[in-house]
Amino acid sequence: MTSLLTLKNLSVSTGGKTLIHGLSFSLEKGERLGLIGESGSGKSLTALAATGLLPAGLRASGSAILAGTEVIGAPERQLNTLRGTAAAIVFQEPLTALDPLMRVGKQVAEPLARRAKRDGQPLHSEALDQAVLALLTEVALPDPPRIARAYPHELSGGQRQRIAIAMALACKPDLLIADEPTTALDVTTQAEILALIDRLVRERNMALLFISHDLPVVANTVSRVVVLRQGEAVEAGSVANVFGNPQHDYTKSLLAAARSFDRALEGTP
Amino acid sequence: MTTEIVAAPQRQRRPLILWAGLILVGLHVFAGLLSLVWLPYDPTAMAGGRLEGPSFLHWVGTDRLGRDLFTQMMIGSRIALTVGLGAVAIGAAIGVTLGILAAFATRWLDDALAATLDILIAFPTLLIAMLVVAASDTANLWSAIIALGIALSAIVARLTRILAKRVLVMDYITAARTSGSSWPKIVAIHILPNIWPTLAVNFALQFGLAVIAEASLSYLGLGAPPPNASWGRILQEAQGTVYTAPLGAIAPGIALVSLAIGVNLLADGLRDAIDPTRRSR
Repeated sequence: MTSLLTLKNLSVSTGGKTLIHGLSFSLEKGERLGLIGESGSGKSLTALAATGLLPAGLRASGSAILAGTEVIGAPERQLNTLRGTAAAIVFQEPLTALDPLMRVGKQVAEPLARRAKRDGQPLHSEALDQAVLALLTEVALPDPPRIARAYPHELSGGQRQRIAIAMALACKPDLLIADEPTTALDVTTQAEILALIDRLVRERNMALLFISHDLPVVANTVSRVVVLRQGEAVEAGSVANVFGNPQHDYTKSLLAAARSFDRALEGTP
Repeated sequence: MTTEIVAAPQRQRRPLILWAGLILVGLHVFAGLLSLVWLPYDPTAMAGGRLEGPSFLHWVGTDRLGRDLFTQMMIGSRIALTVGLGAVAIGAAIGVTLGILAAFATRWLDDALAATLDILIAFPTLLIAMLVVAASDTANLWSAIIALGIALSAIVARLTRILAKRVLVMDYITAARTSGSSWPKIVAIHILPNIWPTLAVNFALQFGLAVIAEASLSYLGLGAPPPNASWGRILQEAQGTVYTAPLGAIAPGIALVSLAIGVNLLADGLRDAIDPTRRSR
């Protein structure tokens, strides 16, 4: 059981329309995998299906084994114990990923207390407060005591995303799923958040499933990529192979689009 | 050139609304509570001449049987507050439970619930209340409260369902589920707090509705039976003498309106005070 997440022939469909066609890949412990493709290619759905969080109305078939447990068709109770420990997700939009009416310190404390209770070492008020502050420090937020008392709307986008990352870390997951974690941020903040994710994944020896449409970001973050197009994996392999020597037309067009964007930035035609 | 940034004047208005609401509701609460332990006159005894105008002894005069009107209005405050609180509490308990269930239900059950609620809402509140009161053996205050609570619950349920569904699709719900939160916990710490501000305003509106509906029921003889001095019954009794002693009809009317407005202002003010996104830093 070295594989943390194994998808075999995973399909997701709704009302006769298939959104993901027979997707297969696996992710080892401590490995970093990028899932790339344009909007609507099924990247986020794959992450939700792998954790059993598909919205009502979407049906998954095939197999998704997370930490040795089959997720597809598993009862909610079994999934609940799995979710707190095996995988955690960081979402694209940091504003909707935080409860607007709860102080962020409390939001971080929630999963932290739950995880501690599961490990059989429940944390109580003061120890919990300390653990929250330690986590906020770990995600490099300035002045943790002040931030912990703030509401989400009082923080910047980058700070909110750091809180969301702290909430994911609070679960001590083996697998961190980052669903376009930098898309809603400006370029400088993007770089900071990427560096943070990179450091945390390394320090905590987590596996990373990094979902993005931003090729340079993916290339710098992960070692292996799967290219998705309209719910189908068109290409997979190491970053160097896929980006250096793309086989599929779609990958080529994605790379060409990224290059022309770079050229436009540099001002050469 | 420098531009001065001036704080929005809206901030100043908010506490004023809260205070106006507190004072109006506070007066009724005070009168209602006081009526439990002390009344200026015996509400059922003749305290003066018939249809007296306002005087130092009888602040809003007497009715056609010579009973002190101010005494009756104090009791009316108590009855109105009991009805408002009771009906809203019953409506909230039934409505919020149903609404949350509908938000979580499978599509088929959800559609059935939504259709049922729409039909219930299509009936006028007062009509449903009259049906429930008529179906119970004796007309008393509690049958009126329960009837109004049931009638109001349909609107609460529909509102709760829509609000809860809107919160359910937010990423922080998915995030909470990813970290292993159970549904009851998510409802308690995420969904209810986030739908509460909108619900609270609705509850205040319904409180006013319930008070007015109870007055209507009493006016029709379906509310609290005599000698309970509901504002609706005072109005009904003053009807025959409205030209000779108009104050008997005007006073309970003012009491009704002031309580309904007061509760609305209070709820508006409270919502702004509770909701952190509406507070300045």
